[in-house]
Amino acid sequence: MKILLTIFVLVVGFGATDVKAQESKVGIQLIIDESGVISDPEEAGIFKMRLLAQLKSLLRKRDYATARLDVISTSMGRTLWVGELAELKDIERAEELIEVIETKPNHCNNLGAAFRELDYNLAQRTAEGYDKVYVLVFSSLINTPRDCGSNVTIKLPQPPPKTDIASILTAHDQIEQVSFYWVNPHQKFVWLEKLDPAVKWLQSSAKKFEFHDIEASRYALKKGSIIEVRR
Amino acid sequence: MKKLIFVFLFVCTGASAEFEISTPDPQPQERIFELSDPDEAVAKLGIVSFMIDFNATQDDLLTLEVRRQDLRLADGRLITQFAISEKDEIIVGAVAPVSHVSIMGVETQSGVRVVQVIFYDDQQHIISPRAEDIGVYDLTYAALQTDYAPLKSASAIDVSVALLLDNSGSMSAFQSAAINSSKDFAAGLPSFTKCEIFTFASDVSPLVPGNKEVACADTESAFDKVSPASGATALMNALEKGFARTGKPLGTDPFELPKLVIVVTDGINTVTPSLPRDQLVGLKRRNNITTLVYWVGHHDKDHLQNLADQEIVGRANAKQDLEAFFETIGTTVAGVQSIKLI
Repeated sequence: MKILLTIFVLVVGFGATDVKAQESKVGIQLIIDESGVISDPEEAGIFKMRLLAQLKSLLRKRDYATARLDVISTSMGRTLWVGELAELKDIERAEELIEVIETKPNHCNNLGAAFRELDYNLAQRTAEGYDKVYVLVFSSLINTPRDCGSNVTIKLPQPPPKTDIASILTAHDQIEQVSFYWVNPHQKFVWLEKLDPAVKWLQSSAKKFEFHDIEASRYALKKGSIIEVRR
Repeated sequence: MKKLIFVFLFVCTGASAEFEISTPDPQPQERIFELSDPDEAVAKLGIVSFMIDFNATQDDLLTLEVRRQDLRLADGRLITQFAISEKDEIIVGAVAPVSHVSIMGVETQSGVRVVQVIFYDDQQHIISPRAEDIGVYDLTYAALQTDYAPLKSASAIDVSVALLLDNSGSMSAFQSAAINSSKDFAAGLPSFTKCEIFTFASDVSPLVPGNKEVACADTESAFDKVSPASGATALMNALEKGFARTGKPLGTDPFELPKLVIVVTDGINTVTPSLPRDQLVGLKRRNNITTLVYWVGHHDKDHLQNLADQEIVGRANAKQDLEAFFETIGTTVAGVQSIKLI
């Protein structure tokens, strides 16, 4: 019996070590627009929840059990929630996250700072040995940097911020996927032009790039599978 | 311990008896440090209004960025129309009555940059705006100093066009297209534009009686007098007629447009030229002539070396191609304004 148990432990132990060695270190960078200039804010709130639900559903896949989630606020331009996907099962942690992503009608929007924060986070994850990073952006891509003033008239289309977002997205080979959701349709073409170098690079590197305006987001987020799991 | 407390009380009571302790400023001190939370500035948004700018829906990124700069003229008026040459790092802006601006090119003449621009009004007519109604900027949106005098009358602009139409035997298949598109071209030019029209076969013949320049718009009936195509091709002698018109010496007038010679031909010269080639080249240069050649079908790329500035080779549809050719020239002849950057 003792011999059998030893063999079992050895086999399972070796097996476990093997699996551990093959496991990817997965990171998810979620840029979420909780500013007062997000388009269709009420509906956006519902689809933010769908996005969270789909992130949580990734826990069914082994690679994602320890995936790290960084949530960047576009209004603050900072990371406001950091944890593992598994923490979404914890009601308190989930509530904290929901509070972070809820739309704040009186908040300005600082997209440039949010993408600079993404750049910082990507560099950190690279240094920490993350080998797969997914970048999800839920924003209407309308910018009103602080201090935005009380009464604001925004002409659409609006030029994107000067931040070199394409360079940020092409600087890290670990990026597996970049997906934009809830893009205001009037912002679509100027942002696609701004992102063009990144789109070309991602596509030539067989990485996934998606750019959904509001209508396309409704479809994509209802359908599910926001992250394409690849081995 | 008791002993220590006793000593302390003794010292304190003794001191209070002998010294008065007071602050130098009896007023309460104000705080030296202001603590503020930068995040407070984030929560300042009040009423947000969105405006869809339909003028900008087709803008590329650079155009949109320029549009959102709200560039202004020196007198503070907001630019309403503009064009960008990214390559030349130039923005040309204007206010009403200009409704469209098109930059044709930027040249350097004697070390001075000159921007060639066409301005249109809301009827799509080419116009010459006043100097105070336009502004030129670099891509950092800094206003550039300009020297611009609008060209708008025959006295201010010296546009002279010579049309040389090949009427040799081989042109018979294209004669109708060449005549009709030339006629439309001449009729569409502004009244101040002067035209001379020649046909050439074995000889060169003026189409307007008296061999003189007339307002291009008045030449329509002359085209009806073209004889049926026949004979050889006196291309060089026709060019000599076109080049012989007097022009101001080069570089004396920055706003002067070159005199134009427009040739429609289908073949190489087959008549002995009266002027040697080098003299013909010299005549062209001295008289500040620009030669545009439309080749109907055949093209020998070396045949008009140093004599033609631009050569267009026709494709299958001579009528359509000629119309496009003349339309382009017409636009350019009629309205290019030169803005010197000083």
